[in-house]
Amino acid sequence: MNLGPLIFLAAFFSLACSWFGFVLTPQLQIGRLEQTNTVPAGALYPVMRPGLARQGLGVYRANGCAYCHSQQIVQTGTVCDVILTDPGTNQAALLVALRQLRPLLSETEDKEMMTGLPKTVRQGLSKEEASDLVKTLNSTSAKAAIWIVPIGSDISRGWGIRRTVAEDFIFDYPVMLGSHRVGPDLANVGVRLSDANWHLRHLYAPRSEAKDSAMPPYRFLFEKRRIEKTRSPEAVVLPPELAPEPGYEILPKPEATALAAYLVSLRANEPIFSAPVSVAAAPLAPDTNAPAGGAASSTNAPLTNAPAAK
Amino acid sequence: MSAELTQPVGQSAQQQEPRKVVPVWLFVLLFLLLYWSMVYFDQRGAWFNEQVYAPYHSFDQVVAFQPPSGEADFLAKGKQLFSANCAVCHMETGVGNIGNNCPNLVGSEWVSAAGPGRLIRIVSKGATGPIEVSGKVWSGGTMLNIGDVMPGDEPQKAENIAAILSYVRKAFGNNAGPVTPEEVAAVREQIKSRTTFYSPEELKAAPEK
Repeated sequence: MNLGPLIFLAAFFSLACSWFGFVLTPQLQIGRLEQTNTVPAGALYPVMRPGLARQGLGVYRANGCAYCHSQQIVQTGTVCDVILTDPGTNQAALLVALRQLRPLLSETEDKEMMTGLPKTVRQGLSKEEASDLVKTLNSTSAKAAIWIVPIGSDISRGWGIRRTVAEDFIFDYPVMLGSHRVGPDLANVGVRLSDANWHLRHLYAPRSEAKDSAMPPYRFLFEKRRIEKTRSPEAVVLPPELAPEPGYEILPKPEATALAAYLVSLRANEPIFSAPVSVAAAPLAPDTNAPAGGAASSTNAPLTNAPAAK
Repeated sequence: MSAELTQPVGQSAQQQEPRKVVPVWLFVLLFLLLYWSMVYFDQRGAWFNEQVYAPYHSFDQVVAFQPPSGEADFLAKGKQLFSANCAVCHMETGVGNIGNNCPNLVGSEWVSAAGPGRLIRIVSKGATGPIEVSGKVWSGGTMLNIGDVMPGDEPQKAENIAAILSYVRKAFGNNAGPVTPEEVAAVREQIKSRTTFYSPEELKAAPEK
């Protein structure tokens, strides 16, 4: 029996199925993603990384950083906090509403609630509960607002404020998502550690910055040079036990500088439509050309709606 | 070699094994599983929408979780739009530009007017002709109909214009009230058939509010 055509068709069908599922559908879904806007401020996001940081992506790739570091924040849910921004004119009614909300707390604590606003009234509510609470509080002429809070183990570790989405990576090729986490996630490392010199020291001697780090030192990205006249300003500042002998200095090679610039540029934390999160809006920068007088300072008072420190 | 080994095994097995009917409950279970998976996909798969990621189940849910915009966010958006659309002539600091006859926004009585009616008209349809601002007559300049040619549909345009005007009325030491998208939409509805730039006289005849 000649099974050739049947085997060919079966193989073709299997390959076509996987091509359809793994290539065509994702391409149709996210192949044409473009820059988006932050919500609600409306700034362009993401912006292209600086040139040095784009070279750094190549160094990151070449040294296999993605084998131990991921760049993806996992989010398991979203909850709402309710923050009180303005006590309004009818503070007696607000006090009654707050007492009903938190019967176990004393009246002094409720009164404290109304000073030093904005403050968080309740945390971890569902969207519906939060909307109801805001309505209740606003009916007393106070002003309350909903604060969107993504939750998840990565977020509670401080690795990011929201999940990462495909838009975060549209200017990266290839995307260094990574799958193993021998080291911490780096999707927002530029937010946590924004000093390029810290990254240079850490690359040269990881344990000088992170005790018990499992990361190997990347000393081949640096060179030891004799100091001819004066110390180079680019030289890495190292603790005494790691510093080279007197008369020598450790200089980062261009690869190390690019890699540090890339790490500092990793900031996937802007609130965008597909990954909503509340962040404190930046107050208007004070204007320098405002006419002399008190008017300007009062108009540009910070209008922040950030919740107080929890 | 014995006779048993040479006999084709499959043939005898086929002959001995009686045919069995697939039980009906298996088909029912298969159908139920398929039905459940389709319902699950419909409720949680968001139909492969590229803007919906876990933990969100649907586009509507993502929309519901958008952070509400406070006054500061609105002004920040206005500042962004001002820098992109207006600052090229009026300058980032709102001082105007004598070089291309673009009037100042700092301390301008047009900007700090009681209502935004005239500002909405200027930004939506443009203005030309000698115009007196802060005691100085600016002539020869033309403001284009930036509000009309902005990207976006009508509600987005109204919101963007409201954000720009709110920012302009609050920034540069000005201290006039904010402008709401509803106000902008109402005025733009009245003037939607107009295709020419406003003259200062026409603007003065238009209501401030």
